[in-house]
Amino acid sequence: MEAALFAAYWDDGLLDLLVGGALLAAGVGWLIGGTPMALVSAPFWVVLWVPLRRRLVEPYAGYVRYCRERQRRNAHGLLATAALGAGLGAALLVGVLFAGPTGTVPATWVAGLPAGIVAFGLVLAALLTGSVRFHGYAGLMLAAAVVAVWWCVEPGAALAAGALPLLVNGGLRYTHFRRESRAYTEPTP
Amino acid sequence: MARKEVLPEVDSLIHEPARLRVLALLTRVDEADFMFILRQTGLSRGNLSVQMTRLEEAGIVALKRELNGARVRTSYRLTPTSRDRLAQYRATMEGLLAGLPRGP
Repeated sequence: MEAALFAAYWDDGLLDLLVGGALLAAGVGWLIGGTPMALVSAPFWVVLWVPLRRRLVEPYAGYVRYCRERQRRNAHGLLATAALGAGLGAALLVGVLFAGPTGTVPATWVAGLPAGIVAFGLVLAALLTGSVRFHGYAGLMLAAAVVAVWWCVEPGAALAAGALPLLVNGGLRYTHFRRESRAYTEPTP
Repeated sequence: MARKEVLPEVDSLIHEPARLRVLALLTRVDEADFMFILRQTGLSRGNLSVQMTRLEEAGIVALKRELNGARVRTSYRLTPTSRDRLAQYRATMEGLLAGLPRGP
């Protein structure tokens, strides 16, 4: 029951919208200004989580603080994810630096590497939040990575394309959440 | 001379279905506000308000008000003493239910 409650916590679509927004910004940033711009935008989206949740979700979904055991598990999961993300980011950097005809990594693989790493991150997000749909997003992001390698497109384009399902589904979920919330927020006649 | 009862008495304050659902929810989280409990239990606003007042008056839940931006957040949590009462209720119910036939 606690696990079901925790999974339902993420059902409003805000997480999907924020992750989708971050990936779209990173993808477009990559296409416009290269890798640094894409990486710089990431912390901005993380910072947005608390104020947006407080303003857009909490008044309608209510506030809950989970038990210490759950908080501890979340903190450990986030730390492990951050460590893995940093490791994979470093691997990406090495891949980019050593790519090309004279390098050790084939340039074509690098095109799909960012989206592949993000797909892995989305699987971790699914495991951390208990939201099965993130496995679906991960699958679509992985498909975008494969297409990027296959057609040799820009890595940013693969990230941006993989972000679209998150934004669309997140938007639909949030709309549904707000519509459903009317029953709780409007005074009983 | 009063007759000694074989069957234990059920704690009616906890046993009421709406309150039992609220308590089952609060045992699984650290604290939750009125809106969260309302959505998760599916009770009406009026009913939940009455049940929360009963539980608070009985000392089973504690109310906490804190400022959250421009709004006041009212959240509930189980009191430390309520754990014993809930454990006693569970033991009583398990004893009573043990004799009932099991489902298919």
